[in-house]
Amino acid sequence: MTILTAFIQEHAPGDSTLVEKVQEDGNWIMHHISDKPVLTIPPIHIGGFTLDLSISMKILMLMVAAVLMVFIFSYAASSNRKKKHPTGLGNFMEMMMVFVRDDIVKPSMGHGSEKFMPFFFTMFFFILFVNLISLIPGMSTGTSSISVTAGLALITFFMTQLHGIKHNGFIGYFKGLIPPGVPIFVLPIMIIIEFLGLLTKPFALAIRLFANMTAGHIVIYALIGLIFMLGYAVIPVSIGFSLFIYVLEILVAVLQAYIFTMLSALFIGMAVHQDH
Amino acid sequence: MTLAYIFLAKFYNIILFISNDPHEKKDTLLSVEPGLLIWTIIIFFLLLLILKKYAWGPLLKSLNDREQGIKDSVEKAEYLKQEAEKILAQNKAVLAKADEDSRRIITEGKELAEKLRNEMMNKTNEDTTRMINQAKSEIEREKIAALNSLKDEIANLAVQAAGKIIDENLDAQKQRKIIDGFINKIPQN
Repeated sequence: MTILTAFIQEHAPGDSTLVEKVQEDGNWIMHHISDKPVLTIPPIHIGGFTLDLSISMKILMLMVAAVLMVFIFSYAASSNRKKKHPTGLGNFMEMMMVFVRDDIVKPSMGHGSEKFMPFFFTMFFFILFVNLISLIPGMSTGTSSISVTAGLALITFFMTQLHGIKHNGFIGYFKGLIPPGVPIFVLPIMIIIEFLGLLTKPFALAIRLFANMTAGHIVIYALIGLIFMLGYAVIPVSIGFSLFIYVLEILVAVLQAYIFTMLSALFIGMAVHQDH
Repeated sequence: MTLAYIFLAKFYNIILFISNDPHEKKDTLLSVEPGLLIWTIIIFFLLLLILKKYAWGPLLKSLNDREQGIKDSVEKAEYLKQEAEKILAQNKAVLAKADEDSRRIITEGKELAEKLRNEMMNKTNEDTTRMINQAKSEIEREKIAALNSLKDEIANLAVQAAGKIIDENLDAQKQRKIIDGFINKIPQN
């Protein structure tokens, strides 16, 4: 930042307000993107490690999404149980579930996906709800925090390892990671690559979801910020583009939930059925 | 140019996640906070547990039941259709057989009637012929008997007449012989 400030000062000397403006505007977006504490809980000290379990805005959003999901899906369940033909919300949610089951999980995972269905339903709808809630003005984006997406990716990571080991045995699972028919002299490299591959998969999951959900919001904030930086003349352009990005974000919200669930299903499926 | 700097600055600030305020808590976008991470995992698993019990279980059950029900219904409909087709084919066969039977019976009846009629006709004809013949022979017999008695009568009358005429010259037996021979010479009719 200091380099850039110096750069601006060199090319536009004397315009100190511009520098301030730049810094301020950057902070303004950061302020909206970053987390805000809601309920502060004193940090817990475990050994030399400090764990801050304060409830922040993003955690609150996760909770709101979770509570909303519990209400909507238990309503759907009770409404579907009563009727022979589901209608309204129950029907819609069932349609979504069938979509997740038949178009996301089953093709990615193959056979034996039935017992994982509750997990993938929860994952898909949780991400979807958090993403969609973030589009409501005044709400915060749960999934635009790397900690949240890392948490979700870690769940996928541990599910992958757990079920891989459970299904193939501890030694069988790690042996199966290396493709068969590899010459002996490449084996050390392959072991390193495959081990790194295990870690990069959830890392990529976390970064993808986080970046996608953050980017859209930053672009919208930047477009709105243009109004205050360049004057009111850009209002139509700003609003138009913001609206466009906003609509795009609805697509992204669904798409990212879809991709996260699909890749999770793919990774778990690959770990469980190592032979193909 | 200045506009480009502003944009650069904005994105530089965001991409590198540098906070300009040294007093602000050092939480940039890419720093992982363990608290948030743990909360995410806790919320996720609580949600999974609750929803598994109250939503996914019943929803999946009703869904699977319905899918199974539809599958069963389709299979049953298919089965019933086959069954109905089978019955229809059977009915057709029975109908065809009945049709054939009735035709055969009618033909047989006709044949029988024809035969009976012919038989009756023949029999009647035969009877009639026989009766006519009988009658004829009876008449013939009666005629012969009548003629014979007539001959006798004539012979007697002649004998008596001759007796009266000749009187005692001739004995009755001789006379009779002569007259019988005479009468027999008379042509029969």
